[in-house]
Amino acid sequence: MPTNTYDAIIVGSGITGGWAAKELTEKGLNVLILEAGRTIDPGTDYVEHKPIWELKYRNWDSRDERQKVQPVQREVYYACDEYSSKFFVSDVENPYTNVEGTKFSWIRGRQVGGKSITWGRQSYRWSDLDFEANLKEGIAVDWPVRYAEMEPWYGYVEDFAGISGQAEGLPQLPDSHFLPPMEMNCAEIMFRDGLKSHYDDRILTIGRTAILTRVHKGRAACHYCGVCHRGCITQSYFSSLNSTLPAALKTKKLTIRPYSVVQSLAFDSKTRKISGVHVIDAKTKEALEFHARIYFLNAATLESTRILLNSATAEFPDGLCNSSGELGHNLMDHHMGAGASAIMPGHEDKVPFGNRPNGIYLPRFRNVKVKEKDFVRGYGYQGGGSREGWNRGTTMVGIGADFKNTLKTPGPWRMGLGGFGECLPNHANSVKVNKDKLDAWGIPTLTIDCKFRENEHAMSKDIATQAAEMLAAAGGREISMYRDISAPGLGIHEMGTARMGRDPKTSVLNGNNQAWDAKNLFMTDGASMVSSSCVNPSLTYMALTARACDFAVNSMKKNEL
Amino acid sequence: MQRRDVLRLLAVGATIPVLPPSLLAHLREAQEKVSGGNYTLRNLSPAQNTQVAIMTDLIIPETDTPGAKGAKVNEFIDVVLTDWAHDDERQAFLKGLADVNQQSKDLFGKDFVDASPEQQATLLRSIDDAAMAKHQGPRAVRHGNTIPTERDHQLQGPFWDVFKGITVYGYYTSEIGFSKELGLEIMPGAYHGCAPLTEKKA
Repeated sequence: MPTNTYDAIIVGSGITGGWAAKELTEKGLNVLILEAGRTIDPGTDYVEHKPIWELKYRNWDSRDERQKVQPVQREVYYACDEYSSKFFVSDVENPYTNVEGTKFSWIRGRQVGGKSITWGRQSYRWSDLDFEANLKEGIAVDWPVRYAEMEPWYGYVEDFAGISGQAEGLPQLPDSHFLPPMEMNCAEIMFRDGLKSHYDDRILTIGRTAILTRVHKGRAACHYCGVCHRGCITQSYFSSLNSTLPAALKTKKLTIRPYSVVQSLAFDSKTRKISGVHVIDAKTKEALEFHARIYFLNAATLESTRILLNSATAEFPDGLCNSSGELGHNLMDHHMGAGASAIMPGHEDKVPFGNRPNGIYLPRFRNVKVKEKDFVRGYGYQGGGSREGWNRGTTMVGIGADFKNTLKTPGPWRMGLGGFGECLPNHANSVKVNKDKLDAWGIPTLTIDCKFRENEHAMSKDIATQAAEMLAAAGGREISMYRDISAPGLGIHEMGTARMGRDPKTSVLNGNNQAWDAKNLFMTDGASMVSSSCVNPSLTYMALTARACDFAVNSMKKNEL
Repeated sequence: MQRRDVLRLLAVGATIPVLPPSLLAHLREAQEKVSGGNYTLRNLSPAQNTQVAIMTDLIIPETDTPGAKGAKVNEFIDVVLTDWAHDDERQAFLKGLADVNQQSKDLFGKDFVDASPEQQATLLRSIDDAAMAKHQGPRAVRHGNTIPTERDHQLQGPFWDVFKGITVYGYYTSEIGFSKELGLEIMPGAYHGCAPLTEKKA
């Protein structure tokens, strides 16, 4: 075998790259992962148990430095902070441009493990309400898959990843293969019961999360320190670093090459296949080339698309595999920023014990059975209950021993609901290459033109009012409602720009995540999504990846690749 | 060099003849961490530091657990003023301290640090009542997805809001506040949604 040649090359080591590595190596392929960032050493890089008093600024962070180096990344305020800003890219090294009048917050993690180290871990199956929506409403193009085809693959990835949750039997939110659910707390139980007695179309369930509630596949159960995004030395939540990459490495068929920034793919116009990957070594700036029979682009939605846009040829002047003209278009993200919060009176003799790294989920009820007037699609809520803590002391009257003793006891129970709304695919929400602005490795960057439109704004309004109404119905007091729609990107559920489809004229990938224009190229990250649903997408990426790997290896066996 | 190596060197009183600046900084930082009571003030004058320590301890005094002074909140304040604060924030903070001192002189004819504990508490209570009044009533609650409004602005706003804010924050993020006063643990090991309040909290 010539040097730098493998059976398969995977670009990226996050959630989907990790899954591709596990599947392809376990099926016997020699696999190379090209990861743009550094290696992570859990022993020194994970900081979940570092006491806050050991941080110089007690997590106020070196704000001037952070603002200079990571002004976009630190919009993820809860994770890009004094503890774990190291898991996010430098915005100086990785610039991009927003079209004037628009703002897309592009959040990236370049390291072995990618964003799977800091992801929110919420894991939900999509349903035919999602997969059929485009077709039924005549929006964009039809998904080339249906739930029945996805169902076994959901089960397959869940059995490995470990998803805790409660079965509810809802058609719009199919149950997973669950590990035991985490407990709800007093405010959540009160809200759940109130909801049940006032609405026949709405339920509250505990968040479904890729966190182990018991020992699973050699990984330990959660110990409830509650800050998964800083790492997890017991490997109790799913990340490629904790789960799929170790499994792939066990086969001894995986090579991970960090500091490997992929610039472009090479296309052989005779064989109609990808013939190599052009890489720049991030440390030496040396140009390198790697080859394989099949290629998986799993660099995260916009990075995967950027690589294709930067791989233009005479035949594909607007980006490789772009005969449809859809590459770079139909960018989506869940809209957030609307919701409500309330005090839930009572249960003052009860308090949560431990830090549950999970909240509640209130599944979609809009446009499920009845068509709403103002908007199509729907939204779900995440959130949770808690008791107010010592923080309230900063605005509470008083000083002295009484003040201190009051803060020792928690304040009232509070319940919060924040919506995650579906974003429609729109051709105008798009990215293109900007050759005038290069990143730290000399690679052309992206210009992003993306905004939420009428449907998202109408839905956002409903999210806020419905949250407040439900909290009131369940006995909430001092209800505070907010509606301040987020910038797209900040949901960190960016999807689309290389969509799957049934027709090569209107889609980039076929129903197996295989590029119509280069059959040895697969894209199984968020780029491939045809619509955005309102539920978190990562579990669907995992299932699509495992499914595509199965298809790819079967095709290789049949000598079709 | 790992921190523990630095600490070991310090512990045996090693002298290292030529040290690169980065290692010196590391040593200084480690020294600060191990020196306990020997923290060297870098911004507050000794008089200001005494005033700060008394004021923080009046807000959160020693009870069955140490108070703000025991938790060295004044040292956290000095670190923040030295390396984190912008010039205008630092000046406003120091001016706020001077204003409190001036009020003590006007009321009691003495510097704040020389006033009796009762006089000091009386003055701070009156400042607190006036400053906290505007925060009462239903509070706007931040949505979980938006950047906390206080981020980066912890030293901005009226002096008492800033002072009380950093005192409360500094105390409950100290080991004494977190572990001794609140009885919290970093690794609780379990989760119960509705545990009895008497149970050790986490």
